[in-house]
Amino acid sequence: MLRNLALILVVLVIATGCAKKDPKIYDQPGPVADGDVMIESELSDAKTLNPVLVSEIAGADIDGLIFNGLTRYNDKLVIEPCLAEKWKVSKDNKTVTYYLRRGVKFHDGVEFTASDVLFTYQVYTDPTVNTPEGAQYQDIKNVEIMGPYEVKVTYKRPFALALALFDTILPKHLLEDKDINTSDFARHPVGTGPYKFVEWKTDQKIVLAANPDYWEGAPHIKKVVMRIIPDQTTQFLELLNGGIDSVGAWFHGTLSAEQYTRQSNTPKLKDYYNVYKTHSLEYTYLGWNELNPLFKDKKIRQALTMAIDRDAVIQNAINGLGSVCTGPYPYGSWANNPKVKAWPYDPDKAKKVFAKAGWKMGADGILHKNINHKDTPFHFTLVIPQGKVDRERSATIIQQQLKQVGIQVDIQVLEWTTFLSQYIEKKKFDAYIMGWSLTPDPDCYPIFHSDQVKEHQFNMVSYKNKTVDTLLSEGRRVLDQKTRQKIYWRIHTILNEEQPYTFLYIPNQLTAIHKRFKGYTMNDFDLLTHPEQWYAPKAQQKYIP
Amino acid sequence: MRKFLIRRLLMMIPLLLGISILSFLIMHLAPGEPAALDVAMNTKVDPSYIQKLQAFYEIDKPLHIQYWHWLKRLATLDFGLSFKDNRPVLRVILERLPATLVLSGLSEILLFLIAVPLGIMAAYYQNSLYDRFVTVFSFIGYSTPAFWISLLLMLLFGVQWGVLPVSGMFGNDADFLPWYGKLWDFAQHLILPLCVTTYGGLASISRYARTSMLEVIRQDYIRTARAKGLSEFNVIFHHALPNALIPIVTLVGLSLPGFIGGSVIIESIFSWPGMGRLSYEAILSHNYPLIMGTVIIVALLTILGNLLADISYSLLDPRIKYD
Repeated sequence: MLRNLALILVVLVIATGCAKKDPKIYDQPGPVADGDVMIESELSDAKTLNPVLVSEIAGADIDGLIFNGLTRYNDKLVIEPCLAEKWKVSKDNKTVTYYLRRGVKFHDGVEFTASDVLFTYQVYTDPTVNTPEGAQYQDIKNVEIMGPYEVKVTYKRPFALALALFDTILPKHLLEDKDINTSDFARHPVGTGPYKFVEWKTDQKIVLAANPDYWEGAPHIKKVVMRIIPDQTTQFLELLNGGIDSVGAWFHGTLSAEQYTRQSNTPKLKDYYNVYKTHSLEYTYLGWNELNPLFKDKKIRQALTMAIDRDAVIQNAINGLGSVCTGPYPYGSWANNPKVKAWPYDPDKAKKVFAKAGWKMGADGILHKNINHKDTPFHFTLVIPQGKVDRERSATIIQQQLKQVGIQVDIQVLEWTTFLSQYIEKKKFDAYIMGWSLTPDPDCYPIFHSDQVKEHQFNMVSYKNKTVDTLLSEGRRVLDQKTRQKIYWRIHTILNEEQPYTFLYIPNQLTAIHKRFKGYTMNDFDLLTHPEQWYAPKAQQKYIP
Repeated sequence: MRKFLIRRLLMMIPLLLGISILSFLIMHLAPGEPAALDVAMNTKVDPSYIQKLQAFYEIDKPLHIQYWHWLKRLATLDFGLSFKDNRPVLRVILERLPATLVLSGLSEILLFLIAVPLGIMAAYYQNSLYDRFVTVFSFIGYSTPAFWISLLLMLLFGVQWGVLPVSGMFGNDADFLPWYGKLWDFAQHLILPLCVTTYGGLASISRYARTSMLEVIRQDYIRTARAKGLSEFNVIFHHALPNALIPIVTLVGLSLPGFIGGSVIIESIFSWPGMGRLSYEAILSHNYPLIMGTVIIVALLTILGNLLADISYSLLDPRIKYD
């Protein structure tokens, strides 16, 4: 009995061993072929797939494959045509006329027309609909149907982000009589995009199938599966095991710094996967509370930035997998001013600035100053939200570096909800480390405009600069790229001078894709463009869709 | 017995009521609220949306009104809609409960089948090499962090040897398999989480079994049984074991909340869609209807489980009678 069992076990082990192909086959190119399945994962499930109600990453990622917009961003972060073949902007910049593509069908076969665009606008501006991103549509005065494939959108004032609106078009015929907030559309979305919704097993997986009538060409990869894997280490093990095909290619996700650095020791990663290092659309920063007298003076903030060795932070917090950040724009964006230079790491210069501002080194190794007749040490608390290891490491390194120039920093790691509601929203903090996820457009009005300081708004450091206020408002009203560029370059210069944040770094996006997939080019902006062109050659396909 | 049962079942109502009030209060004590949390740090969101959402969730109303609405709905077995995806709470919980029950249930059975004999043999051969080995082995299981053992097992069996899947409840190809293929697939995915769950519990149960057995073995009636000339097998299994099992039943009863509540750590590591992760995520996101629903259902099942434990006492120990 036992001997039989052992025999079965041996056979099983051999069988599973034989099932794996020699990885060298995946290095070969191959002719375009249909078939195969792309399996990727996210750390948490979507809450809804109704694009009007979506506010979380997973839902937005899936909707990006199911829906199209009138326009979209290309791999150079420039707006390009999508469901709108072309558009005309009026001389006064207040009207955009879209000329829509003909012959586009929703997944249920009904044709896409201008009435769907009008319907989408009505839904986003309906006060009874719980749409998180409706505020962007408030600048629109009127949407008019000029013909079955022509739509005229009139704005109250010129609006720079106008062309990025209407990024998911809803099917009017399926939603017009329904209550958007509770409609089953949230669990069974229908759009015009390259992939159709198939099934959603809550907290397990979401399955999409290729749309054979997609207007850009039927996708070669016939099925896409998004698995929910809440733990990043498990995700990596699944990658090594072949349970998922990629990390960070189609959906949000990234290898950790350790996993990337150790890849030469991980043959299973190196042999089967192409690993790419690009820049993510985000940055990590240290925010100084300008309501705190310690950080009121911009010279002090400049000195603090000079006392922090950002290269050392990048090296030790994220294994060198990031770049120093000087401004609030995506890496490589046209909005970055090439003339802006990062403050150098110069602790001696920083000490001189502190001394000039009246700070004297005390016997305890900490700077002291007489503020309002009270002897005040240069001592503050740095709060960070729990969950991201790189931020905790950065905080520790910064604490050490500031100690060298005589500043005592206490670090406090807080649970996310407490951090937000009790400290940040109430502005009860000295300094904090967080990050911003960026959109392709450089507009940062909500973050730096001086009137965005109310509860639930985003100028948490209470930064106030009249020139920047004017520039931010102007940037939103100008449509000409060259003029906008001048505006954002100026904002970049001023922010670098004033250091409301010490911009820390832009972390790298570390993507791993199974070698069998071809037909794509990696862009530096972590954007998935043309998913319908990806394919796996017939001989290398792994799954039957 | 019947009066005892009726009394216990009736007592459930005030008990559940008390639990719900306490949970409701504690839940609202935590700082922050779900609407703001939902869209935190999303620069495209206007604060007026947060107010809209608060009205939609009814969290802008005073606490006692919120509780009263919840209680009224509960009378019709309507647990409300989950804040996360607007689906009925009862449905969400019932989707996740079986996954946890299967894992915990099999784990308890395995524990019983492995740990109890382990402990009893250790008591029988007290201070022998076997006894010491069992002690060390179970304490290693008790002290190693569950997530670390999970990752090691995943690495070994999943990645290195490739004989077991790494995570999840079903494999990528599961949908295309016939029913027996699906069952086999499910069983494969169950093995590693089951091992980790069981190994952690081995120590306490086997130690209790050992201690309990040691006490029982020293009793006079055991000496009498041996003196009567009964076989050793008879003495151990017919006379000693039932008495030694009584504290074990208590232990099983005490472990019921964890049994139904599931383990967040193991479920997160193995991507096992169970109750542990559900309630943890609900708490973190302040998903009030889901939290209340989970609390009530877990409390209900725990109370019923304790009732079952008490009834099994009376079966095991003829001295215990209920009326």
